[in-house]
Amino acid sequence: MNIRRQYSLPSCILTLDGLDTTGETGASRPCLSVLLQAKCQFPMMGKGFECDRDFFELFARSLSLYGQQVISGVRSPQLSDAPDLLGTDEPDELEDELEDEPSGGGTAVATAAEKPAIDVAAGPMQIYPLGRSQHRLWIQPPPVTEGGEAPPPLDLELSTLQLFDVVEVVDQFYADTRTLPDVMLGLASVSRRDLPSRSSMADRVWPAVLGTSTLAAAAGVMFLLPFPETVERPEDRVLTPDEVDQLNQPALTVPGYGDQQPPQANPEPTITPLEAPAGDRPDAEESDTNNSDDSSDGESGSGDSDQSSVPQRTTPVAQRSANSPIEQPTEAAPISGEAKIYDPEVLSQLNVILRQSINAAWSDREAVQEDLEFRVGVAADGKVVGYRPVNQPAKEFRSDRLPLRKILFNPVQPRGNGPKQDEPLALFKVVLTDEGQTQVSPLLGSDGQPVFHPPLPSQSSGSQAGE
Amino acid sequence: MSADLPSSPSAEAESPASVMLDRLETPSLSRPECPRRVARQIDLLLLAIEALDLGGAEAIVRSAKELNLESVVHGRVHLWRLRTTNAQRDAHQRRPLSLEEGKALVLIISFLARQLTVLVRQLVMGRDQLRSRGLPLNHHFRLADYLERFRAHFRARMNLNRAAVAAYNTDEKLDALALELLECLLFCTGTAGDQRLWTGLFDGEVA
Repeated sequence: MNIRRQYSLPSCILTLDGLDTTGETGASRPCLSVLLQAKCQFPMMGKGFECDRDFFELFARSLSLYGQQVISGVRSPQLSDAPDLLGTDEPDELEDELEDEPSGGGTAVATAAEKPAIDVAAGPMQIYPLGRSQHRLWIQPPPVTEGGEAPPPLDLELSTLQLFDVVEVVDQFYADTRTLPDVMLGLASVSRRDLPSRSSMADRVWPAVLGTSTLAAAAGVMFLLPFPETVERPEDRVLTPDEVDQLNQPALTVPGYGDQQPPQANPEPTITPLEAPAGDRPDAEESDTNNSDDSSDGESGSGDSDQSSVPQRTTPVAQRSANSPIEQPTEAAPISGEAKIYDPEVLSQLNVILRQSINAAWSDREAVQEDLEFRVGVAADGKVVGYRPVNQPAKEFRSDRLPLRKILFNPVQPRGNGPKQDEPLALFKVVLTDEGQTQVSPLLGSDGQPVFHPPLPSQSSGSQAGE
Repeated sequence: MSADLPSSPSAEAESPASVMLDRLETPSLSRPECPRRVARQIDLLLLAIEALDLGGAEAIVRSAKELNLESVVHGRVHLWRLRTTNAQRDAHQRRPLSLEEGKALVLIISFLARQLTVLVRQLVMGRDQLRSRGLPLNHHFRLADYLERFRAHFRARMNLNRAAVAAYNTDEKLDALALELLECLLFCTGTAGDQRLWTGLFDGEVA
């Protein structure tokens, strides 16, 4: 049974002739499943064409894709390329993918007058925009009979309204489930990859070239810079007084400790254990200070001649690390985190005071079987603020029986009262001999060697006399 | 006009909105939300509908009910919030338009465009006639009315300080935009207008 379906709109009439081969009976509307002939007429132009199913499907698909192009402005890659003005008259949406450009400005450039020649090889069905709101539809219908001569091509200029009618006719065919039900309206968005590249190769290469050349130029400049001759180890760095001031603002003087403990986290920030291995010993050194004039002698850590001439000046040499073993005098001065006292008079007085106080506190001298050597830090007022055993017997000696322990001054410093730990210290070497004698001698020297200070050879040697 | 939209009563009982939304395919995007360009275009199309129809704002809310899309677009305020996802809006909200909301708005646009089919065709035809005779657009009363209202809506609601908006600094540029949207609305009136609009919005956006 022959079936004829007609879809009609003012600008386009589509007539499909076919057969129902599904064999359905009783259906109110038979299914046109085999297309014999399709006839498309454009009554306003008095033109039309006839074709078979293959060409009709191409016709319908091309129009559907082009309808999408009118909406989005993006040409589908399935459509044959438009002759030459595609690049200029696509709507601007294509160009402002990031919606930062107007899409209305110069929509169409070409006019209907400049109609380019059709490239027949591009396909039998070509459609592309032709100026503002004009569209060109070029159709080369297939031969009516096989082997026959092809009819002359149709070259139509459609307004948007006419184009819409043609697209709508095709859509109605697609929507009709009783006409060629196996032909579906396949709409798909154009992939980003299929977008025509809008920048030339030079534009795309330029940033890479610029970046590479900038890197090369920077590398060349860097190459001219001299290499550092000596690399200073960070832990050996001697802080300037200004830096020490800054570091001391919270509480701590020793970078080795201060780096690891936030100032607020240390309940007694002025007490710093002198010896890490002997954890049970309450060794502590006082950092209480009343000296604020510590910022002027920046090089005092290494200049001995300067140090001797500036009494009460402090040299904040913060170079002791937490792990520096005391057996290695070269690593640091015994109690080196604090300022030192270099005044010979003060040193001799402190020497006497220290020996007397040790003697007074040393009750059971028989307990000492071997010489015990200590390095002792004494404040300007004569108080022992810290000590450190030097030789092995001193380390193994019970700390609770040490006279130094008894006279050790445990500073109690109110919190947050500013830097009080830069008190100048005098360093002494104290030897408790196995004969029950106390030997006290000043211990100075920035180079780590236990030497006597040059300006006071007589005093230091004299004061070494034991009890 | 909504007769061509499929509506099966059994499915409607479960989730009427999802039946409608399933008509539009979910595009494969890197992020499951409408890109900014899509949100902007949807808002502009709604703006064009408002310029075409004096009662367009109410019609948009009403059509959401008629299309059973109330669960997605519920009420005037929510509609306004959806439209402010357009980054060019003065009251732009930094929130993306979800795909579901985008679908609902596209369905509404298409639904309203079909109701306005006659007017849209008249205006497109009038524009073509004016162009063919070389006459200015204001010779067509109804078309000039539409263009004027669109310009007023656009200037009142868009952030004119944005470069993308400030580029529409002349009546001619805004008219061109309005006519472009009118053509888009014309294609929305078709049988597969909503599907084609939705698919076309993501042209160049999908992976």
